[in-house]
Amino acid sequence: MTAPSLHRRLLLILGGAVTLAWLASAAFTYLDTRRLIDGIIDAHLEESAQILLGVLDQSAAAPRLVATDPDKPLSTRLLDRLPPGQPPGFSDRVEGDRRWRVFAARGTSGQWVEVAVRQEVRASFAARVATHVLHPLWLALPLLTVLIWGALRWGLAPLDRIAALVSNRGSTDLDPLPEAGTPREIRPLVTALNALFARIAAVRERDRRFAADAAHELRTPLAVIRTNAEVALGARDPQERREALDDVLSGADRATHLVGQLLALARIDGAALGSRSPVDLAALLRSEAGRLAGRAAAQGIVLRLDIAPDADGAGAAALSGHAELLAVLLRNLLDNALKHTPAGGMVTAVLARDGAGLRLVVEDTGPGIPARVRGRVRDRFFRAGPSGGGAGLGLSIVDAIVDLHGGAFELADRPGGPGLQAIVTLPRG
Amino acid sequence: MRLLLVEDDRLLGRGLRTGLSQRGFAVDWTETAEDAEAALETTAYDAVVLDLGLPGMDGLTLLRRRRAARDATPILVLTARDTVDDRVAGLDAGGDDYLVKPFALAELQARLRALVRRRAGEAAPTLRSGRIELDPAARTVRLDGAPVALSGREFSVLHDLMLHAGRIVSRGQLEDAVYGWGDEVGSNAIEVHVHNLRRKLGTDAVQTVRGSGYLVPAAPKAPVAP
Repeated sequence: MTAPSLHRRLLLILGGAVTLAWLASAAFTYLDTRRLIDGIIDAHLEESAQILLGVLDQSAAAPRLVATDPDKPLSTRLLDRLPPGQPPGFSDRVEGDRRWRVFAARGTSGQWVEVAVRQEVRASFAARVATHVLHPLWLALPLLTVLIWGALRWGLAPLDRIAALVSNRGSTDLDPLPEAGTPREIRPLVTALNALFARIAAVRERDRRFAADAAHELRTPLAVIRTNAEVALGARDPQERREALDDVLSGADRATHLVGQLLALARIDGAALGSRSPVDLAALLRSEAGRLAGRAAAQGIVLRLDIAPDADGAGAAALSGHAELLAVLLRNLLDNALKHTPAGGMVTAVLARDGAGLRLVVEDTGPGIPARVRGRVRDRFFRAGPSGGGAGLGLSIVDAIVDLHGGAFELADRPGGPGLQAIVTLPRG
Repeated sequence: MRLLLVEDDRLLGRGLRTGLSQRGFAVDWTETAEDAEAALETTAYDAVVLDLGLPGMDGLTLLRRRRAARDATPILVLTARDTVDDRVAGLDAGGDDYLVKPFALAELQARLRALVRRRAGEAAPTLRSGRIELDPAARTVRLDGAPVALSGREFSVLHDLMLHAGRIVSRGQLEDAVYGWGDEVGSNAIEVHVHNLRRKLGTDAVQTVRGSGYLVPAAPKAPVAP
């Protein structure tokens, strides 16, 4: 298992903490017991020495008490005087590998009595007591582990429950998880999950509606093609047949245009991940305007470009972006302007520097867009007027491309007359 | 039969107008619900073909308004939306029938004929008067079982008279039924058509009611069981 497990981690932490606490208490017990035993043994040593001295003082003959077997833990000696360096009373002494606790006292006859006990005795006595304290731990530790493990399972059950809820979901189920009854600690997680679900649901709904709208929008050009094909088949008059066949072609063109627009939108969604490169917007504008010049002339519309010198050229005026999409943006704006401008009118595109970025204004002398629907014309498939062949996607595409480049797009009345002004500002990116 | 076509899409509207005219419908075409409402206020139509997606007032609103104004003209709804909810909404708002784009022109025509027939209270797809039998779908007329060749206008005049068999139909009503907006109507056009019908079907086929109009005798009703 490589994935970190919260369960295991808590088990280790809690098990370790309990063990440490127990060991600490054993150590404390050991030290405390030892201090206690030291006190008791010291008292015993002193008492034994006093008793011995009392016995010595009362006996007439001076007994020659020889030191007891040094291999025994207790040793008692009578000395004429203390060895050099040993103070009267309590002291510690090392003899070879043996360590002693010693009490020395002088009797009235001037003789010294020394009572000593091996340090090891005291240590082992204290150790035994401490070990006794530790003993239950060996038994309790496995039991505790099991108990902690169970408690963790029980305590972490809400997490498992939520995990089960999420993992059992179908890919289409984006209903929020229940927040009621969720422990306070996991509620932020559940809330965040629910917010994510809501966002995904919104995106899915938008995509679904868009796909449905796109399919529906294709139905009308298909109806145009089908109806006019039937009309052509049923026509007896050659003129009538010709007109119907022309309309079949127009219907096919419209379907083609719609598919192109839909693909452009799909590309915009994909391009958000793609890389940018320096784009010469002025050159793009010239090229797109060039492509539409013939149509403008045929419609009797003057198409005019006004490119400021400081917005021209690939150097300083270049902005970082998606050249293909920026071309689509220009084409849609110019196409839209031409579509709504009557014969004898004018379409002007002005490109200038705007701070660090560029500002493009496409202006026509058409009827403009009434202010009450201006806010909606960027909605996908919204048409401000009768469907004259457009899919209602042009301005939504412009909006999406501008958005992708971090720019701003607004519509206004043409100053000093009827007509529409589309204003796009693009940062250098 | 005179139809009002409400369709904002120019190419589709033009195709539908021509396609329906080819089959003898007199078609008036408006591009907005507002114009359609004005036309419905002043002219009696046999049926309306209504697209729901219109600029300005939408088709469903027009439907509701007409039904609220107690206008019972049969309305066939055309739309690009084909979910059950959309269809239910269209029918509940007062639509009599529903067709999803793209559709076959022949089906649209058949549905319109059925709507008009039901409106006239006829269940049979063919109309009868005396020796004459008229089949609106096939656009054929038989006299004693033998086919009679009629021009499109003549057929339309006879069709309208037979839809109102036993009742007087004025010349103006016949003009409305046979000619759409923009069709040129000669001052004696209806007289000419009636004259031709009499020549082809016999003089009593169409009776003239002086000062009022024309009349085709009703077919004798089947004897009612006692």
